Amino acid sequence: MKKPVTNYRQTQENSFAMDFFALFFTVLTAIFLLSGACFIFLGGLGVVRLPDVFCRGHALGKAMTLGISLMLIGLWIHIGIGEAGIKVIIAIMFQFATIPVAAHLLTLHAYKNKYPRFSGKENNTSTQAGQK
Amino acid sequence: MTILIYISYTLVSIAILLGIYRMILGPTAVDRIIAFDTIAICAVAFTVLLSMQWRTGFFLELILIFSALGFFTTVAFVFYLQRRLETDADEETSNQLPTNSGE
Repeated sequence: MKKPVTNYRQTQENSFAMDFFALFFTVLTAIFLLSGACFIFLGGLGVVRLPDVFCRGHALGKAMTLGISLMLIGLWIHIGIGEAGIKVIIAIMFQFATIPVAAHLLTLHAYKNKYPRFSGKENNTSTQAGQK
Repeated sequence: MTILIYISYTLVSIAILLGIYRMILGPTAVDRIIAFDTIAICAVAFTVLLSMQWRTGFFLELILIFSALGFFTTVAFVFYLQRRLETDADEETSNQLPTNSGE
């Protein structure tokens, strides 16, 4: 009579562990997904709200990279290592390699051609730049 | 989980709308290229959300291809702009600001 009881206890513990890990992975996926989406939203907001070409390149190069990388990590946890494989890591490395390079190239082009910069006192730099 | 994915859809869609706003209103050409890069990254984020909703790893190649396409298009825009500004400066030889000729 002892063995079925212990087996029953083990199955109970195993199912509890499975539920706990499923909940843990769900919460982890939710945290990564929501923080990544918030960073992407903040990057878009910075592209609109910041006053200068250089500031917008800064918003593009940092916030967007972090947001898309967090969303890819969330995808990796959500669909499992066996299905996603190494391709998610390649995608994250690719994002980290390309997006800051593009932002730096744009701001380097703007710096070489002496685009108008935000001095801090005038509020209408972005509108004055189009009229010049 | 589903409602979180929908919240993320909403946030990424708002980011795409902000990028379209900057692309329409952007005073210089570099602003428009930055807005284009924003929209390309948001398209990659939409692909991530779709593959998260359907629970497949089938679209990871699409993610790689889209990010490579956005990066190479940005680099091509910048080189085109640089060459066009140089040729304009050679032809006109006037002290015109480059922001006008860029558009």
